[in-house]
Amino acid sequence: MAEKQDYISDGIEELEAPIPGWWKNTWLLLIAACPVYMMFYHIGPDRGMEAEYDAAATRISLAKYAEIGDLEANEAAILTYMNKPNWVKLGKSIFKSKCANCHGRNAEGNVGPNLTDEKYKNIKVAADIAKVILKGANNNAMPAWEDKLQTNDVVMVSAYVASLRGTNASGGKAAEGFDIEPWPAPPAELPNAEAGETSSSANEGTSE
Amino acid sequence: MTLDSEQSTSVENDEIYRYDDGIVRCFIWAATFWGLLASLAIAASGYILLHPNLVVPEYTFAKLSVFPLTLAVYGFAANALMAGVYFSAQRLCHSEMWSKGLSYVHFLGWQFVNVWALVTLAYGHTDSRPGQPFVLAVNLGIVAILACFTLNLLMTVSKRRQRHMYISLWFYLSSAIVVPILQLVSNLAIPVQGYESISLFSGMADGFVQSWGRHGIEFYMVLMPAMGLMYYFVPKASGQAVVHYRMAILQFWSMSLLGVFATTRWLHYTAIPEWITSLGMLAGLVMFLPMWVGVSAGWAMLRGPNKELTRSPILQFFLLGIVFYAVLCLDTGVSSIKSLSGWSVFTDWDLAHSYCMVFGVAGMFSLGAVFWMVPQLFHRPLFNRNLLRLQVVVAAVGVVLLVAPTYFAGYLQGSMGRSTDSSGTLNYPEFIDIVVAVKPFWWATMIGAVVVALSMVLLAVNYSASWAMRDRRYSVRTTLAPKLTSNFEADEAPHSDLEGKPVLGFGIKLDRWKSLAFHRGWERSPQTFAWLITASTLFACVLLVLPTWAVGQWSSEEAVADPYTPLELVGRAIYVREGCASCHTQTVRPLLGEVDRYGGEYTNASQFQYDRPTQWSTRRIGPDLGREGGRQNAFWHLQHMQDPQALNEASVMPKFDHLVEAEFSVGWVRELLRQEAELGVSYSEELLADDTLSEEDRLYGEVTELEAALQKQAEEIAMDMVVSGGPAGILDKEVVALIAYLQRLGVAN
Repeated sequence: MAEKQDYISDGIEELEAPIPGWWKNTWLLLIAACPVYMMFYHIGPDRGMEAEYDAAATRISLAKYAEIGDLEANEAAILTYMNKPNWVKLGKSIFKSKCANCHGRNAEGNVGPNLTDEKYKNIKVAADIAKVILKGANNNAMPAWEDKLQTNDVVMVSAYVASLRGTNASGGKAAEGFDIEPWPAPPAELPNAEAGETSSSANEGTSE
Repeated sequence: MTLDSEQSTSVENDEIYRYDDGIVRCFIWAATFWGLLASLAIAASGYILLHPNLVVPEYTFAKLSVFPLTLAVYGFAANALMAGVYFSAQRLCHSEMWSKGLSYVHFLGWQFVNVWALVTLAYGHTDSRPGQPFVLAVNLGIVAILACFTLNLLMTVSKRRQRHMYISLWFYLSSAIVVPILQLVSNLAIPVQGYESISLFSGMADGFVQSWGRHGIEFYMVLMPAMGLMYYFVPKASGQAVVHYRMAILQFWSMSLLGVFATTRWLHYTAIPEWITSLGMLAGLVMFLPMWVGVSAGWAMLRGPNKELTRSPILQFFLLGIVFYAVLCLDTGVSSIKSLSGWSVFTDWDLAHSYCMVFGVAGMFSLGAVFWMVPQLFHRPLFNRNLLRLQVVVAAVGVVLLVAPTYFAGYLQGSMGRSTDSSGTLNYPEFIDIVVAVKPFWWATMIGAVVVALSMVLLAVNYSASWAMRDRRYSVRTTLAPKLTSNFEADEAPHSDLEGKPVLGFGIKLDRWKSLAFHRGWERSPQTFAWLITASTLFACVLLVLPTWAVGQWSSEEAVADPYTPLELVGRAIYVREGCASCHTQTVRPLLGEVDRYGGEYTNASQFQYDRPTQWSTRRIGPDLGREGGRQNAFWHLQHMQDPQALNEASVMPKFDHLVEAEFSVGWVRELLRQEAELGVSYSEELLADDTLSEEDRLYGEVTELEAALQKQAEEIAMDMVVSGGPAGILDKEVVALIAYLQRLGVAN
């Protein structure tokens, strides 16, 4: 006698309720969408994460500096932007993420020198701030940032640092270096993109 | 006494057998022990994280943080689930285990490898793979023990006396087959010396295998058996039927076949080939709906016609298990999506996912199962039902406190880390702001772990009291069931509405196929399951691991970067040894906000080509170091190692001042160099040469090529320090080597 199959296991019964149509259709649709996704992103034009990032980064960076164009890291630019609170704020943000480790959260000095006093080690004019940031100083005790920051960012950090002069943040490190001339008044003309192109400057920042 | 229809057939065919419940009791004892240890380890390491300099420097959070997850997954979850698996697999097969000896080899062996793993880790033998940091010998031990179980289960299933394999058995089979394969493939390594081993893969391929292997093992070793337990114990406890048997088929095969792909979603935006993570994303999304079937099926089985749920603490455990499983399903769906993973990966989310799986899903289902089994295991009622009611509340509070704040901490880390204003400027430029924001959640998690430990104590009390009060003598019940014969009647072809209609035969076939009736045939054939699962897993291994490995090889032939210098190499070894990867990742992903924060450029594959093991890591308790080279000067690093809190009060980095005292030996460096050379990294013969200098040569100031190379670079770093006002004369200290390595990270040369 052949045995009959049943579907009760250790007392647990399996009921064959039908699969809901909406469920099945949604799921099949999802599966059908997979090859489409793979083809869209991985065959043909490069739509990968790196291409996407590069496009977004370019867009953001253009938008960020849309008003002012490409600057050069020179005296005029730093002096101009150190008096514009919006741009100083941007410089401060960059400072906090890149420089605060060594120079302190409020630039009061830590391993690196205090930037809020009146004495400077490698700086005689405002343009030197940008130079030190780009090229480093003191046998790389101050690292060079030219590969890691856009020129415009360097200008904004420099402007922020210049604006800190004489603010004497509390708990600051003892002053190091020499007294230097006060920052001159900012130039009347904004150093905009066109001006940047015509003036010949010694600084060749990398603008990517 | 089990009753089934097969008993009514020919009596002369009946076989007598006894279920082995001793093995179940053993695994429950073990689970209680490891569960307590795991939750205490989470609490302790959480406390140390918040008090970085509490303990001796040799046992920092960085080193201790390997323990909690290992204890939770390999100690607690694997043991707790096995208790239910051994209990239900025997009953579903109408058979005792194929080999009782093998069952106990599995049990004792598993406890042994766990202890062995802990001891080797405590002595600093680790291959530094997140989640499975064991050296080769331990890994092989784990694979061997897992294989014992696989063999035992496969043989039990093939000698079963119930023709039809119930849903739970599918999940057990998948787990038993896939886990040893993943454990082996993802830990392939070359033995070096003593306990040390070095990954067979390097760079990107190693980074891939680490993450994919670990998450795959958690999925198949923890989640799959937990689902099997749900399908067995929930209907047993509630007396309900499995209504959506057909949905369970889709759930099982989706999870079993796609899980191994879906775990690559943890690598979105890293340097591995993007099509692999795209596959992972699609697998995760396609898997989401079938995975969710577990939630609705569990809920349907739980919700009886009566008001049992409000009265039965056992059903309440199952309800909690289903809730945490639902959270896990949502997590899987959400974090599969590439753009959303930008927030979840490399944060505490990773840990929350594991905790939710281990303590939420596996923990709750096995606790419910344990208390349901106790009357059968000891032939008397549970010691104290009120204690059980209390434990439901304690366990619920504990696991919620453990899991929810960890998820939220992950969300905070991800969102604050990448949060920018409209101009692309970081809103939280200082990393420490994120740490400060997350700290309260670390406290909550820590308290949650203490409460979970409390619930383990309650389990221990209730279980051991039930054990102590058992009757001294009782007869083990015997069961009768006929042996399976080849003589059975196959099901009739399923009914199709198309029959008799003017359609092609193929149409009718398709209509029948859609009813999934063919699966009944598969359920009579464990071979079909075994082969399908084995083949698909091996296929996944080949499809995923081989290309990452090949691309890695290809990029090293391109030789984009120079090999590490001897000093950098020993610095790297120190980085691995100190467990820096517990808190620091090494991958800057091409994401807005992230590149701004961590580097001028995102990370690329060639950066890691000489890394064995790769230190991508999983959590950013501290900042990413993928582009750390050149961002700080050497003296800053020195001061930061000596006293991080002096530079940043809120920092949770422990002091590594012992590195300033410890010297590294040239012999060690030579050993490391030779290892690398054997693996194909090009170093000159002079660097690798033995030290043949006599004492007299040394008197004349001669040094070997290797010593000269070490000294030259160390001097450069020491010079940097002196220039910035640091100390001189620390040339041969470990900290100098570590700094050399840090300054090399992400620097193209």
